[in-house]
Amino acid sequence: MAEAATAVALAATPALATGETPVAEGTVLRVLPPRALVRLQLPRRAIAAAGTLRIGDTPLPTTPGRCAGDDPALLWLAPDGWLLISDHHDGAALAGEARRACGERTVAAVDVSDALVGFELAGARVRELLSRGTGLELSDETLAPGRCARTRLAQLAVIVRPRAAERVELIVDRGPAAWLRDWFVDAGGLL
Amino acid sequence: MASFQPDSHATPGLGLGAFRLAAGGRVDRAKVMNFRWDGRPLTACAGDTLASALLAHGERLVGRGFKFHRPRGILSAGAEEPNGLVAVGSGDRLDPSARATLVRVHEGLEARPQNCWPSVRFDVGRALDFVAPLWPAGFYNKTFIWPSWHAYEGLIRRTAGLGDALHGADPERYDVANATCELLVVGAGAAGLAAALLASRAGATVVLVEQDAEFGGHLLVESCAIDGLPAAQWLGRALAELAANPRVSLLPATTAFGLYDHGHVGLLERVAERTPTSPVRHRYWRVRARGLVLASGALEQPWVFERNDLPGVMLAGAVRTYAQRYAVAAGRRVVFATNNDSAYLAALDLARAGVAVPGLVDSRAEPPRELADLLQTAGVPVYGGAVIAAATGGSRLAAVEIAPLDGAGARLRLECDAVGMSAGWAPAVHLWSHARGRLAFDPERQCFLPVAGTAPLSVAGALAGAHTLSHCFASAARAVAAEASRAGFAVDVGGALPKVEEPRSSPRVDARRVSPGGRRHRQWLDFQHDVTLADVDLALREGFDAIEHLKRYTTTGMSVDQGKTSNLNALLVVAELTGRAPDAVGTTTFRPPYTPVTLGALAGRQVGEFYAPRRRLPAHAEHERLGAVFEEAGGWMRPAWYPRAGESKEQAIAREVLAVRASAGLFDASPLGKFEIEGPEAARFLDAFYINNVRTLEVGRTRYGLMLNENGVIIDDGTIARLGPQHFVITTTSGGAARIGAWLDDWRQCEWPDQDVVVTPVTTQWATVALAGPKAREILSRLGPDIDLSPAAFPHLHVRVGSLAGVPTRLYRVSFSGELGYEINVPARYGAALWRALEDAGREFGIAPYGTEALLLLRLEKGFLHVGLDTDGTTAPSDVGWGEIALKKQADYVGKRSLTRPENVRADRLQLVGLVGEDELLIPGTHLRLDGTTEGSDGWVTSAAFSPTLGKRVALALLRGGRARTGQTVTLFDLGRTGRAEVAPTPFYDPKGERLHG
Amino acid sequence: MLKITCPWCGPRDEPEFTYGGQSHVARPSFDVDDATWARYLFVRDNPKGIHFERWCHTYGCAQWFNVARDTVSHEVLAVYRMGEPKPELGA
Repeated sequence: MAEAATAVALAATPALATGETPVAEGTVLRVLPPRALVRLQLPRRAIAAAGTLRIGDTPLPTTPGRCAGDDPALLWLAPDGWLLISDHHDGAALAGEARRACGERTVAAVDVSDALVGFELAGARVRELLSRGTGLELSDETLAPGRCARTRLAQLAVIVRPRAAERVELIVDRGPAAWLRDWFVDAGGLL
Repeated sequence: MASFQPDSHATPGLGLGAFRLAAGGRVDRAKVMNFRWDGRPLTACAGDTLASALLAHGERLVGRGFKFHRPRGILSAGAEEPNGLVAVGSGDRLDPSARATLVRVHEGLEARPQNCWPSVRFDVGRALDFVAPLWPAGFYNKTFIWPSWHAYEGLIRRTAGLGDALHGADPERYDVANATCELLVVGAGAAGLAAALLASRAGATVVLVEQDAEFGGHLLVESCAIDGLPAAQWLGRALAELAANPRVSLLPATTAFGLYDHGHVGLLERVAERTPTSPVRHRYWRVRARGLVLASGALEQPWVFERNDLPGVMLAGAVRTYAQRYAVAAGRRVVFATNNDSAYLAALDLARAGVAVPGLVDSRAEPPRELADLLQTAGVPVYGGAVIAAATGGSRLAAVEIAPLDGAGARLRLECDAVGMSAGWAPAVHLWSHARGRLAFDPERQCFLPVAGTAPLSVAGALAGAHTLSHCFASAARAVAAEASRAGFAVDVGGALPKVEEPRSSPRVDARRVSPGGRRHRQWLDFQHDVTLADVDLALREGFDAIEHLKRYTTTGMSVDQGKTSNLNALLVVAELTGRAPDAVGTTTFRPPYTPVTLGALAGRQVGEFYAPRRRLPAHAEHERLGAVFEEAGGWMRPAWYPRAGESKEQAIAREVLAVRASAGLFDASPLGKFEIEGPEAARFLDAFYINNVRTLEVGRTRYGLMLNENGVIIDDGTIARLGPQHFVITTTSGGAARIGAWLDDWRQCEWPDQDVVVTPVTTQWATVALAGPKAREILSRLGPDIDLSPAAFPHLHVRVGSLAGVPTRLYRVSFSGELGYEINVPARYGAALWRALEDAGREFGIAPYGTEALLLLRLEKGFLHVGLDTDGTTAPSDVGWGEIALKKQADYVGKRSLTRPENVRADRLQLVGLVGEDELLIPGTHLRLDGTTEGSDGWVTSAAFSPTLGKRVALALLRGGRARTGQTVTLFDLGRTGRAEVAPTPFYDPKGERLHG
Repeated sequence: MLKITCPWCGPRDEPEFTYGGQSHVARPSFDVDDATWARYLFVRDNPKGIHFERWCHTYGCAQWFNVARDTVSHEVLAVYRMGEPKPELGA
């Protein structure tokens, strides 16, 4: 069938075009550019070993709701699950590196770069906007950089990752990402 | 004394109202607003409620009783108002049954009375009152017994109900917000304010909620001094301090309507009332409070005397509020009647405002000396040991008859146009009761009070039985101390409390609240539902002496006010008539909401496109370009069909089906659930879920699998693909992706935690396009796969991993259409490009994109099962032709044990069969009857359509014992119509399955 | 709306969780008789008082765990991880 290879090339299209949408006074919602995202998981029998694992120089965080490292950033999602985020790898390479670092036998590292979309919500009314969709306690502690929380926001499972004061990264499934952006615009209009 | 406002600086001819006092009050006389009442223009001052503005103009008649359409006037000044239920606004923005006492007047407001025709002044329904004996308590219940409900239905439907319901969609917007705090304080009267001040000074996060548009509660009408300042000034200072604290949230015009589990409180903020420019009408706050102080106050209770429902008869505290806060006199001559001290202060304020007070009637033989002296000094006679026996007048109050209780002496007639009555106070225990806090009757105060410690919150102020401001402040300090330890913040409440200079008074309330004698069917207990003493008498005679029964039989307290001014009186009357203690009679149950909540507020933002999340396919823009008609399925916006110019839905679907059969079609299958299963025990793990053998599946192959629940019922189907010895990818139905993912994880975590296996959901990581039809291979080959597509190298039910047009792919040879088919998976970012590339490559073959409608028709022609459509919550594998495989598998799997339960081996189970016939009743949902059956149903049609491929109607059905009935005919029946259809073998199309191996 | 303390994520609102019915229900082996199997399928406790039940923090860490809840007051008396024994709770 090789003769049929008439140089068709498939171009990548991001789930949402990178860009910024004003959602409320002094507050914007940014679509983050595509990044390498890897879901790292342990079988339940190996949870106890999580503390001994490291990606590069960074140990896997074992405290619930904590992030570690810079690139890749390691986000605690569950006692047996983490999300790895990197701007400098592609997903498959990052997954491979994670498997090598933790031992092929122990972990599953799956490229989910296309399954998730990152947003950044930034501005004075971040907390108010979040409160429209989630019952998560939006205390200074919850919203401190270095934390991350998976919660229910606008009926969706969303990873909330504070990056700075009044700047929060939101990671959501690709399917409803456009809807969630519209939701924030609507919510911002009713503040 | 010239106490009334002259008709000067207002709309010509109207003034600010003939009953507006010249001085005092918190309304702004300089800001005059125009509104319409019942079509007539009236004026109000900024700060007026509809009730105060109407009273200012002497508009006494605000509504008609529910049952007898008797004229009714304003009774109260708050949320407890039973009579002043009015319609505000018009069209889709009509707000029915709004309380005139809570509606703030704004420029251009339109309001009208309810439950009257043609007008509130002349109401035809009033005729019902003259035949009142025909409408006793329980009348409604009796209509069910004799002669028949239908004899009354028309009349009752016409007369029942107070306001008009809306018919259009609500055009307003509602916001919903979540909040957490260390202390939530409900009620911003003296106690609530003090609680908020104490907690906020301790650094706690505080939310202070007040139902009224203004904070202050009783402080808004108080004339005493606090910490040396007039009450109003002290209030201003307290509010300024709270407002300046960033950890304090102040929510005026907000009702705490329900108290739920674990400190969760529902608040309704009437945003537009304070900010008319806001796009939001109401905001529904879901607050989670660590500590909770309820300072919701107490509701004054009416006296029960003959014709106590005449317009002009009001609660004493309300009369005081209208005078002090709104500068409105309830009448020119106001008589007070009481069984406690509180009405003295009301009478005093009215007298001091220059309103004639012909007397205060106190049922207690010995009136409180200090208060009585104050009144006498102000020129108000006090009649101790007396009650109002009856009110007289036509449609408004003209006089009251005063009767001494000892029977000695003659009745005294006092001319008056208003009465301020007080039969004690009922603490607003509603939220306390929502929290299941207990109540106990307090004989001194003659009311039910919260029993501290029986609910996880604290009470303060009048709700806790405080009868003076000093007591309010003290109770607030106690409540904050208790809640601080619950919420975990430190507070010092030992400091000095505000010092109050107020007249000495006693909390004691006389047990008497019903004037003796008089016509019992003219003495009202429940103004809103027109319940009288005679109704209670009747209910007791008929044996309804349990309070919950009596409530329902007489409907006391069951109207929209939920008995705020009637429950306590009814209960105490029952206690007296039955010789029981009030505690033994007990209270009825208070349930949320405290006052009605607009449904739109509860729905909040979840309306229209935001009702539920909508998911978009990676190639969404391509489908839009092709003019797809989208339908929501499982949260996904999916192309249902792709109409071309001039095509009907049916034509488009038929064209799409025929293209797949003749050449090729393209379907976006991205929502298919996808899970990676990895680990040494991956095969063992999956084997426990499928009726099919997973362990024997070879690497590079796929297998169709059915999943059961423990009852042996089919819950999902999909493909199992083995990519490596320890690596599987399974697919689920699109709608089942989340459910099956959770199902696998439940078993993995809870039942088999030791298995060395990991499950990763990857549904949206991959875009999936189904390419089906005899030309599929040829088209796919043009995309340059590094996979040998030849039938020998890549047969049906195999899977290959490789690259396609330079991007990673997972390629399946599977078919839901019965044709040669591939499911092509690429990372989602390439989904749109893949779709375009396949369209381009297939153009010369006449490839057609097809939607979910064609997909379902293609599989129907093949007789393939659609789980959830052709199966229900009882369908087992043997019912759909998978019984042998399910039973043959030796290893245990979820649901296997249930397959041999007696229920699952019955011969007369509903089983999936094919049906053919030309009857138009052969459509989904039509019921089936076997020959010889004359009643009930022997099954129903689950899927049916006209097959464009076969040129005839085909269907699937669940039929009793169906698998043994091939060739028989069955009766179709639907709403009395009948037809015939024949049980036919499936597949209808390509029964030998040759095409999918092409 | 309950507030449930996830053993990993701490207190969260009820909508983040999925209820999973009574906990500590042992799955019988495949060869039990019909009556035993039916009891496993259909018979559950329905106490007025303490109920041991399973919950999953679906929108958070997706972990299943056990909750001891008073069915009258809805008070959560204990949360503990899957596989841990029932705690002793004063009657």
